[in-house]
Amino acid sequence: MAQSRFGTLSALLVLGVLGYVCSRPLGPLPPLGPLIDPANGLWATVRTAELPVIADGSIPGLRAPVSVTYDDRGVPHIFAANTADAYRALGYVVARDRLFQIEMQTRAGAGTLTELVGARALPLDQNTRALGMPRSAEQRMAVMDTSTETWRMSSAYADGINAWTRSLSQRALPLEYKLLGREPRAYGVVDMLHLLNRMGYTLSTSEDELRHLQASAAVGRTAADALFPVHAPIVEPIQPNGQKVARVDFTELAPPGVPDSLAVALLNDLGQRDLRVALGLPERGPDAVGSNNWAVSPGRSASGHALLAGDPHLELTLPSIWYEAHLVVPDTLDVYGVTIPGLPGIVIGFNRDVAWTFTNVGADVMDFYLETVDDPINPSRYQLDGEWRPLERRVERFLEPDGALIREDTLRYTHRGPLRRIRDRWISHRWTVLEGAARETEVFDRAARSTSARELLDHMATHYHVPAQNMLAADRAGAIGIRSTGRYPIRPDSGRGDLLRAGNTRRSDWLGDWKVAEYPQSFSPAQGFLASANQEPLDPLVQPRYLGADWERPWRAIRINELLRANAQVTPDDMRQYQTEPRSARADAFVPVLTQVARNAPPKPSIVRAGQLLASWDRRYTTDNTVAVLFEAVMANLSRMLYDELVGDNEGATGPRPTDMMTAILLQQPTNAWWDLRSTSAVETRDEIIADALELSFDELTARLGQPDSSSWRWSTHRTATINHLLRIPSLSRTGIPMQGGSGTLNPSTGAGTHGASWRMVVELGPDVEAQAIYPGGQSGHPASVRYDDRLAAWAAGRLDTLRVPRTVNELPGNQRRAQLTLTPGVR
Amino acid sequence: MRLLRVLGVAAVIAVGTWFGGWWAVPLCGAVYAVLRQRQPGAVGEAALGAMLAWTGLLSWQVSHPAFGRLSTAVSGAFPVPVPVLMLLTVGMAGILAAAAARLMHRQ
Repeated sequence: MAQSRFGTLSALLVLGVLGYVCSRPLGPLPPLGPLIDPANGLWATVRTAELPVIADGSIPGLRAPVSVTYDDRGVPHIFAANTADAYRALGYVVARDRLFQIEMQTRAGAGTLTELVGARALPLDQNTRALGMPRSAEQRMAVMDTSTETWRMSSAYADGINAWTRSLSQRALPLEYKLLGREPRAYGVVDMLHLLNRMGYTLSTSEDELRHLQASAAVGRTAADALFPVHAPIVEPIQPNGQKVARVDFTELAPPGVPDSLAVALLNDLGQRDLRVALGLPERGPDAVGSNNWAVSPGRSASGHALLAGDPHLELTLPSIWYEAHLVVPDTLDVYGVTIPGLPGIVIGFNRDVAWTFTNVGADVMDFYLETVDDPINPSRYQLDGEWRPLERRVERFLEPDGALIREDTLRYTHRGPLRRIRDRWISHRWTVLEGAARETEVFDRAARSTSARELLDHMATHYHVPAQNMLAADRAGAIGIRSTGRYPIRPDSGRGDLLRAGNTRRSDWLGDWKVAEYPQSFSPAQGFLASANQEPLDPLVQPRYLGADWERPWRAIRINELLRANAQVTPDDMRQYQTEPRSARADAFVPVLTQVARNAPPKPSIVRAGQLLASWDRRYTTDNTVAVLFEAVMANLSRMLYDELVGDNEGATGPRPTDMMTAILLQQPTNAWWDLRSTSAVETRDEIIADALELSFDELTARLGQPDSSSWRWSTHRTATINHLLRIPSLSRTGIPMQGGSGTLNPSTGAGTHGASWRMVVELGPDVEAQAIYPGGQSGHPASVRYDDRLAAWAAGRLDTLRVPRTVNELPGNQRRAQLTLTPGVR
Repeated sequence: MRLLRVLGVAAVIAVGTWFGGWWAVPLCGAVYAVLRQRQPGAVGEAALGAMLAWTGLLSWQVSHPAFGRLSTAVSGAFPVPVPVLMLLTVGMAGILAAAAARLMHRQ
C-alpha cells in the first residue's frame, strides 16, 4: 500500500514538474512542450522550408485573382489586375518568406522588442523610445489621411501580411517564433511608420556636436574646427565641379591649442564617458555605412545605352534587409527591385524606362540643444526666451511577452523634441526623422511609375524627406541624373549644426529648409557619368552653406571617378567589376609618402623591411595579399600618435578621432604641431612619427603573426564578412566569409565585417531593360531552406545573377519557374 | 496482443499529438491507464506507445530533405547536440505518458 502511494506521489511529482516545464517558459527558454512536439514544434518547421510547387491562398479585400510565379532564384513575379491587389499580394508573399523579420524590424522601430524577446532587449527599446521614434510614428498615424493613396497602399499591404499570418497553423510558424515561444501579431499601417523611423535611425543620426565638443575641450575650438571641418578638404563632389581630379585644400591646419574652458566645463558636467552612447546614437565604425552608385551616359557606354550601378552598404543580416520582387499591373505598373520587408513598394530597382538607386547623403539633420530646466532631477518646465514652458510628458511602458510590466520611463519633450538627461544636464534634440512625412510609402509607388529619370527625381525631391538620399537615376532615353534628396534644415547665425546650441532661446531654432533648387544635383553632365559614395555632395567653392560636417572620406569617390574617367566604353561587366574593385585610393595617397620616409629614415631593419613591403604592394586589397595588413597597422598607429592630444588623461578615456582624410592633409604639412607627441619633451616631425609607426607596426605584426611571408599575413585571415542572424544565433549566422576589399575601397570591409554591400545591381537601359544583381543571403527567412543563403557564395565572389523580368506569366520559360501561387479574394 | 496494444496506443498518441499537441501524450497515457485498470503492464505500454509515436513522428520529419539544414540551424540554439535533443524528446514523451498513466492506474 505504502509502495503504491509512493509510486503515485512520484508520478504526480514527475508529471507536475514536466507539465510545468512543458507549459511555462523557464528564463529565456520557451515552454518545452510545444517546442519539442514532433508534429507541431521545432522539427515540424522542416515541412515549410521550401515553397510548395503549387499553392493557393486568399486575401480579404482582393478584387481579382492574383497570379504569383516564383522564378528559379526564388523571386516572386506578381501579376495583378490593379495596384492595390499587387500590394496586397506583395505583403502576402513577403510575409510568406520573411514574417519573423517583419515583426522584429518593426518592433525595433516601435521600441517593443521586449514584447517579443523579453527583458534582454530593454536597453534597445529604451533608447528607441527616448529618441522619440514611437511617439513620432503614432503622431503621424493619428493625422494620416485615410483617403490618400498612401493609406490605400499601406492598408492593402498590411492586409496581405495579415492574411498570410492568419493562414498559419502552429505547425507552420517560422522557426524563430517557436524558439521564442511566441506567435506573430497583426500588422498595421503604423508599423510601416515605425519601420521608416528605424531606417532613419540607421541612416541619419549624427554626433557632430558631441565630437566637436569633445575636441574643443581637448585642443580648443580653432583646432577642433580644423580637424573636424564643415567641408571636406579633399573635394570630389557628387555634383560635378568641372575638375578632372579631386581638389585638395592644403590650408595649414591649426595646431592643438588651449582647451576651450566652456567645453571643458560642460564635458565635466556631462561626464567623460562616450557621449554618443549616452545619447543613444548608433555605434558607427569607419566605413560602417558606405554606399556607392554611379551612372554612365550612352556616349560613354559600349552599347550606347545608359547604365546604372547601385550598391548600398548597410548592416548585413540573415535574412537580408532586402527582398526581391517584381510587380506587374497591366498598363499601370511593371517594376522590379528590392523591397524592405514590412514596407510596400520597391525601394531600389527599375521599370521598363527608368532605373534608380541610392546612397546615403550623411547630411546633418539632427541637432542637440542644452536646455535649462526647473529641476535637474524631475523637471516639469524648461526655459525659453526668459519664460518657463511646460514640458510634455509621456510615460513609456515596457512589457514582457506575457504583458507583465518590466519598467516605466517618463520621457519629456520640448517644442524641439525629446529631452534626455545626462547626469544633471538635460539635452534635447531635433531630428528630421521625427518630423518625416507619412507619405514615403506612396513615394516609391510613384517612383515605380516614372517614365524618365527627371520625372522620378523631381517627384522624389518634392515628396521624399527622410532619410536624405543621393538618388541616382538613368532612363531608356539616355538621361542620367542625381539629386541629394531629403529635408535639410537651415540653422541661424553661423548656420552650423555641429555645435551644441543653447536651448533657452528660440534664436537657436531652425529657420526653414533648403529649397529643391539648392539641393546638390546634376543631370546628364558633359563628363558623361555621375557617381556618389557618401562624400560631401557639393564643392564648397560652389555652395559653401552648411549641409553637414560628417562626410565620408573621399577615397571611394576618387576611385570610382578614376575608373569612370578612364573608360569611355563602359560595359555592364565593367560596372560589376568596379563594385568589388580592390584598388585603394587611400593607399595611393599614403603609401608613396610612407615608403619615401622609410627610405630616408635611420636604417633600422624593421623600418627598412616595412618600407620595402609597402613599396612592393600593388595597393589592392585582394584576399591573398600580405601587405594590406601592414598598411592598416601603420595607419592605426599613425592615427593614434598623431591625434594623441585628443585623448583624455583619464584611464580608458576615448576621444574623437579625425578621419584619415585629415591625416592625408597633414602628410603635406610635415612640421605641423600635430606631428609632435604630447608625451615627449622633444619636438617630433612627420618623418619621425611615420618612421616610428612603421617600426612599431612591423614589430607588432611579426610578434603576433610571424614573418611577413607567412600565411597569417594574408588579408583573408584578417578581414571577413560577418552576417549575423537577426537573433544573433550563431548557427543561423554566416561568419568568416573572405572578402576582397578594405577600408576606403569600393567594397569596404572594416571592423567586425558586419556591414557591406547589401544589394549590388547593374542595369542597362536599352530597348529591353537588362539587369543583374545580388544580395548576401537568399529570399527565404527559413534557415532550413536552400533559399536562405543560396546567394552568399556568388555575392562573396563579386558575381551577379541575371534577373528575370517577364512582362507576362508566359514570358518566363518553364525551366525558370520554381513555384506558383494563386491568390483569390477572401473574407475578413 | 501486447504489441498490438502498444501499437494502438502509439497510433492514438500520434494522432492526438498531430491535432492537439504535446498535451495528447499525458492525456492519452492517463486515459489508457483508466481503460486498463488493474491490468498489469499498462503503465509500461503507455510509455512505450508514447515513445513509439513520437519516434515515428520524428522519423517522418527526419526523412525530409531539408532536415539536415534544419538540424544544423537548430544545433546552435541548444546546449546539446541534435541527436541528444531528439533522444531527450522521445524520452520525455515516455516519461510524460508513464507518469500520467501511473497516476491514473489502479493495480
